[in-house]
Amino acid sequence: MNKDMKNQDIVELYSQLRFRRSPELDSLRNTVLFPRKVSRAQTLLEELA
Amino acid sequence: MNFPIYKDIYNSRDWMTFQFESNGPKGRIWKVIQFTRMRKRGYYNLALGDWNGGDDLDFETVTHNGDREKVLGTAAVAVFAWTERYPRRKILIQGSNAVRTRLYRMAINKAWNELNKVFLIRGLGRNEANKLVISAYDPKKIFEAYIVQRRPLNEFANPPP
Repeated sequence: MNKDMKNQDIVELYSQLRFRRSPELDSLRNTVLFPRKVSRAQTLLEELA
Repeated sequence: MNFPIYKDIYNSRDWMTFQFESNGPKGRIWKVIQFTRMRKRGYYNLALGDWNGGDDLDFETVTHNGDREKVLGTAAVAVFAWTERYPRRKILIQGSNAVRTRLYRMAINKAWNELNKVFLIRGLGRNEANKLVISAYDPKKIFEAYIVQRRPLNEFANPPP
């Protein structure tokens, strides 16, 4: 196995995922599902700026 | 990567929201991953939580469904999927509390060799002057959050230590 092949671990896992489109998730577009988490993140990043 | 993963994932059209089913002793629980654009340019927050399908979507709970590593492993691969589409975006990962953030650190440490190959992971923490700074990831250091970016393809094979 060459070096490139050994580095495919996450890529291989990614290739195993089966994605399916979800209209329900589409309907949540522009909806922040975790507002408290997002608010904390905004505060942290503003401090960084 | 040592983590098992859930392989069936639902995604929104814009790939900003993902959903998968955690299956454990407490039954089946929907997990949601959402990326949210931050006001700071180029940054997106990653939030992982439970979703009961109701209106109260801001969960801070720890489910204890016996599949923590599988959930975190799935989240890591979902991040990879997301960065396939948005390779230049920076992801902020912050636990809902210090315990959660430490849990993320333990998970990062455990999968460091694999994660470091494809992601540039840095820590957000305080310096001696208590100023918030971005620094290289240190497995022993306690950070307030983590910043994850996809490595350019030419760094995949030989990431810096």
